Amino acid sequence: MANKQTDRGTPPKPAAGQSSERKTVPANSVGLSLTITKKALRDFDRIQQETIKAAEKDQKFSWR
Amino acid sequence: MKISHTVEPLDSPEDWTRLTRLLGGSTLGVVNNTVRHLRVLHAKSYVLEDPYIDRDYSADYAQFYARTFRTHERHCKRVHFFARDASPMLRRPLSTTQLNRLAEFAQETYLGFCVVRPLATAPIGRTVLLARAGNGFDMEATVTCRADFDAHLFGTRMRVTGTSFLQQDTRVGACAQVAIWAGMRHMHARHGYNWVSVADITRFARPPSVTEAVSLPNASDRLSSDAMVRAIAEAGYQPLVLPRLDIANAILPYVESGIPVILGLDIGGIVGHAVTVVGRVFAKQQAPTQRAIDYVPAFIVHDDQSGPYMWLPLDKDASTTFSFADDTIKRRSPGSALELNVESHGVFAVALMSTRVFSTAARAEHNAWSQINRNLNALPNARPALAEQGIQVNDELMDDLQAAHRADAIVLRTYLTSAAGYRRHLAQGSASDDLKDALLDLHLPHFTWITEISTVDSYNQPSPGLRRIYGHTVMDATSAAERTDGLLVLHLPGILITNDPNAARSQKVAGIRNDKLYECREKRL
Repeated sequence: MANKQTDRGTPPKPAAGQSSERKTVPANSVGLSLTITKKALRDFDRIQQETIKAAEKDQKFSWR
Repeated sequence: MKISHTVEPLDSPEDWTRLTRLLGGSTLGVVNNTVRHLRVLHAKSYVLEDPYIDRDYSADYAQFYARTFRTHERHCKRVHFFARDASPMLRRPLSTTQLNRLAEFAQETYLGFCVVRPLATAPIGRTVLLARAGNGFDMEATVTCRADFDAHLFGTRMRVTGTSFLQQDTRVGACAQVAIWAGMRHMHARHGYNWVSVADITRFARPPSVTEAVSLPNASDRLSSDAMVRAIAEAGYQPLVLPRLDIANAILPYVESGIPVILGLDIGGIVGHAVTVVGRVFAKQQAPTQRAIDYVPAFIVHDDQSGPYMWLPLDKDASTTFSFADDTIKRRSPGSALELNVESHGVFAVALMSTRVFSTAARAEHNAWSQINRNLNALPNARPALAEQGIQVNDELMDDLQAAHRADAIVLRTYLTSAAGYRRHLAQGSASDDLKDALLDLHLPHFTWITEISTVDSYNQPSPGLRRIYGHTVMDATSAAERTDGLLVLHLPGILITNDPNAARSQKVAGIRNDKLYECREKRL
């Protein structure tokens, strides 16, 4: 005979093909985030400008 | 008319001299280095197939050699190499039993083939040889741009895994075209892109600029940087020019992704030399550093003037520190030999990108680092908040990672992969079951940039099987540069932060039970 207390404490098994139960919270509720910062975007724009300038210099070369 | 098949041994010095003569003679550096590669592979015999109709040479022939007053041979020869004596395999009659034996023999011993063109100054035609493995104490050399190539002997398929090589002839194409050809032939064999010949690449580079118009046929002996980019685009790729500053660091993620990079080397003047980067050498560091490029003392390149699978040191000291010896590229002049390296000579690099990728490795890694940095900074406060909500990080690994972060000892390694490739690696690797369960059914774009997160201690291992990661990020490679939602996943020990760019309030944190360190991705076929 099944023990009722044990049954309540055992998480239900997911059906075949379904994801298992997983504790999930909104990222901002714990201070975490995946949104890129404006500073990171600015930094990258600067790197990109440097790359373009260097690429323009390399146009003088030919290869053989 | 019959095709003749001759078996020759490769035991004595005379045998190797005979092979050198067959491939074009010892005055050509490319022949010597091809033979040297075969010696390292421990080739024991070869089969000479004569005549052989080669599709690449036939394309060159139609474009140029058929139109000259002087008669050129139409047909080539092909030489197949084996790690054992092949003579018993070619005994007649060619019964079913005998051919089955040949198939088994080839499976165990085939080292690849070399097409010999009827061109005295440029005999080495399409060549695919097995890439070398191993390489010395605390070093690992991997040809990441490798694919399966089939050759047939008496109707029996023989397969070799490697990267196509070719010598320039300066009549149909120069090093620029040949470097592009090697990259495109890899993409054809591995990913099904169009088959293109050297003559096609020269045609794609038109119309000629002033630089290409100084020679006849136009562009046959050089291509400008612009013409290279034009040829790559015309062939159906996105050419991606990489930053000249810190060029080795810029190249590495593409090479780790198995994407060939054409590298232009400044050898003095305004005419440089182009090679194809097809792999990299990893070396354990004595004093490990944070940058993944610092663990790479050399790239593996196909140099149409020097030979296949040559090593290009990262700087002028690398080859003496690591004893690269004869594997490096040297430009010889009377009385001296200049060894080329990336830092001193690399000035131009262009990657052959899919037209379906909209973000660069630099942006992906910059984005990944920005988020890793921000979230690791937030974790001292976030950990109690997560615990309150019933999510427990892996304390031991997270403490390690946070300590490495404080000590500037985190190493990032970034590469492009398909969603299928990412899932395959994850499924077959040593990540925790719960992480696999959380990630394997995630809806992902076709192409993603993965950034692996290691510490200097977990990364500084000579064998790829021993390198371990604490987490990784997944970035949508189809997201445009200005968008802020490119990062889809950040895994840190015990937690998984996910972002659904198509949903509101989409950023969530989930707990990962029994989380652990797992293997770096190793590039496999």
